[in-house]
Amino acid sequence: MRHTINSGADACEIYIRESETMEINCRQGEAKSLQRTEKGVGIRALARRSYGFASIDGLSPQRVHRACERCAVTAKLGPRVQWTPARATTPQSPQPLSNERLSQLTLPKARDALLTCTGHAITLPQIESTSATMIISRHSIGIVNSEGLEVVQKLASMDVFFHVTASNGIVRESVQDVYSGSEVDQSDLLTLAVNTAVRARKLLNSKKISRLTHLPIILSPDAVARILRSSLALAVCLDIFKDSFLSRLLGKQVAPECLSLIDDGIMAGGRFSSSFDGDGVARQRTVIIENGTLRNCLSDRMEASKNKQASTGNARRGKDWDHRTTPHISHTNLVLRPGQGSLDEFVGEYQRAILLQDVNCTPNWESARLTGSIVQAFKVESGELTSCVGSGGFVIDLTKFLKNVIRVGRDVRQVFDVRSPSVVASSGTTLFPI
Amino acid sequence: MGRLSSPYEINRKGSLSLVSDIAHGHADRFAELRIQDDAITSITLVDGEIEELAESESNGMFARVYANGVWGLASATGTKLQIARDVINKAAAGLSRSSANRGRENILNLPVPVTTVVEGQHERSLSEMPLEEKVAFLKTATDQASNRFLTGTRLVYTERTGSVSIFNSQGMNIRTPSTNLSLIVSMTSRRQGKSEEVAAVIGGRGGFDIVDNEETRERIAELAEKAERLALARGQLRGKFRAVLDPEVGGVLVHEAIGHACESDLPSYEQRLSKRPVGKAHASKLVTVVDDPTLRSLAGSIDYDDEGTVATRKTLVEKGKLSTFMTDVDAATRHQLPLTGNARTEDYRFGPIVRMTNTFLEPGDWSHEEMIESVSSGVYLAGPAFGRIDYNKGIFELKCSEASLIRGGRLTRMFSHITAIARIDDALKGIVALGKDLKFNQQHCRKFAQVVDLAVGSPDILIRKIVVSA
Repeated sequence: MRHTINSGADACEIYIRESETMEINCRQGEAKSLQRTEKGVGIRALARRSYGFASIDGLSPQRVHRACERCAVTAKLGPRVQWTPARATTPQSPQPLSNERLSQLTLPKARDALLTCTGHAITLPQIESTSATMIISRHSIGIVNSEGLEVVQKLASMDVFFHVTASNGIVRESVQDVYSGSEVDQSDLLTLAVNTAVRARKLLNSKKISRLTHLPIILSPDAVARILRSSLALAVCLDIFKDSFLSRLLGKQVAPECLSLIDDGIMAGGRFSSSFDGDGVARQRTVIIENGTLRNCLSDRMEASKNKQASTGNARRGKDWDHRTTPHISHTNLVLRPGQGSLDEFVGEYQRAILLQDVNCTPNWESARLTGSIVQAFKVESGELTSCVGSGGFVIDLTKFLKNVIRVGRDVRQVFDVRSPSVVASSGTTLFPI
Repeated sequence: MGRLSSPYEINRKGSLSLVSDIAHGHADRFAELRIQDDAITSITLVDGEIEELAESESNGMFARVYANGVWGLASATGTKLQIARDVINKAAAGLSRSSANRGRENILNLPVPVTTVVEGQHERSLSEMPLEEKVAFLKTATDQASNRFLTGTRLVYTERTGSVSIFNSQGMNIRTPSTNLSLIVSMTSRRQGKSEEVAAVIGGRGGFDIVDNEETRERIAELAEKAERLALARGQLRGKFRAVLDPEVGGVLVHEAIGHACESDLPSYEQRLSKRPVGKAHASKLVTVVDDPTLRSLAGSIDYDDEGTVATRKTLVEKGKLSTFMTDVDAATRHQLPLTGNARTEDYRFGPIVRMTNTFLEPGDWSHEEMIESVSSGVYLAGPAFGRIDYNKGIFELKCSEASLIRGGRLTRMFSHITAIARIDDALKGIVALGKDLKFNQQHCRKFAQVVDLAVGSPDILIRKIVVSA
């Protein structure tokens, strides 16, 4: 930091990162592992209110000092900004956030856990193949800056992707699912592997959407997660908010009172929970929708400064604490407040409806229309699930959909970075055949 | 920024010695070390003013060792000799932790060892060009862009200059340049509360002339016009239509529905092979798709892949029939296929996987006007576009910026925010005519969490039926 200042910067921030990643891929009983070590420094500098960034791989002092010098030079050519390095704040959660068991998980144990789960799933009837990838990342992150900030945090996370293919000799169907967080529980993993296999088997007898369908939609937690991540989570980022379909709705009622959504950066077991964000700002809980009213956007220091606001602590560097990039705005853990009722209870209430179990969506924050394809759905008739649907498309008018949410369940499930229960919407969704 | 040279950085002789040592005494072992050393410059302009200037150095190593049918892999930042030793030893240690497949053949399908240094060929070295000069070009790049409703323009220029060196225990000893440029241009228009954003990627491998040329300025001007047209688009559209796809949209179809289908390392490869082996019909007989890394200056133009295999032109689909599957060493060994030079990685952190290079659909003989005039009722879909394939469901989904209704052979009403969905088989077998003008576009393709730059090419495509929602 002193080197950067001595090279001509007025202010600077030094971001240091050391990461160890274990990636294990299991396919048909064989395991392949990759161990990745990454270290580096990212430097941001201000010179007469102009801004520059440089990064270097490795922690060799000679190289880092050269990067500091280069950053100071780049800053003089760079844009004039209102950004300044973050001031020290008290974290809202005590250190450490990461689970100690995850931090100590070794490669052989991780491999064995994965082989056990996939090995069990393949023994189920009609299961043709299983594969899984487990990625365990451990990060040590440090940020110091000329405003006196000095923060260090150690983080660990695990993502497990399951892929199961079922076959009845005539038809093949595959399902994918994901398990994420900063805690590990092998029984949860095993349950997920088995549930993924069961879902794949159910799809073997699935039908198609045969005509345009406008029915009440019951969304499983998985489907809610995908829809939120593809639309709302993007639309509420401050840097693109003004071009999003929510741009004129801040402070307005966008949904019924039963719907509240928060971004929780300090949630225990959350995939992207941490003490500080990529700017060094303390993570927090930010209310996005409160009892149906759109309250806040998510921001980092750069965008917050432009808008004369305080940052919400949503700065992310790259995919996962990457020192090679400047921060961008991203949600941490989206949490939909649970209500009353469960998926089974909701199904029992309808003469005719569609249960969307899992979907694929094309990301969209500009228009209020979200389009995608059905991975798995079920027809609801006389309060019961009848046939499984494995093919069809859908269009959701998000503005209408949100206003017509009539039930939010209590059956919460975490799907990667979204924790959500089931949701029922009376209208706003059109299903169509492909 | 120029690189540090240090007597402690690993050299070529040291690298070869390390991989040989790992394999020494183990006739059944294979060891490989890949070293990458890059300088990255990124310039972001918003509305003609610099928003961010960034310079980075990225260097590190990737090692893998193979024995008894299993791989051990490791990577680390830095290029010092001790780091190389550590990363190779870690990869070798990974073998004992992987499960052994005792019945498995141990003979890898490996590239012929080559000793060579490939130099980049371009008019002016990127590292020689001052940053100020690049900024000056970018500031003028949107001068010709005109749009009544324009609310914002964003240009993100990224250049990567450096080299990749590959050594293996068979004697592979090559160094190739890893130079790549990309310019992402996005424009936003707003009218009556409706926002439209369009974006395009321009770039390739070579000097600054890849982006600093008249074609780039024309492309940016066209993008601005498109953003203006889209701001005027209104209404909803839904149904099954006969469709003309422009080259950008056609390129996405080729990339997703054919290119990825021919990657032999995808989990569903065995499914597809058993359903539709080489020689069987995969598409209309009009369709011939080629993957050609020997074309110059495109994003996928390489001399050697990231395992040292010579990069060659290959026909993936010939007159509708599957002809060649793309491979890397692992996939070629598993499936007993020839090496095709399609092993690529994002950077040193990752192992190679099968990727496309420059993939294109060979053109036909229809003009654009003839194709539109031939449609009495349908849609014209135009890019920019991106897409997604679901092989499990056999569904192809793409998002493109623009659709125009075709009535009586003429373009009529325009719509924006288009999603088109089709069954892969229906789309490919339903191709009834191809245009004569082949155009290439650069794409960023994400697969197994790795992003690489490649080029896709297509002429106009006329498809029998596709579901469109706007």
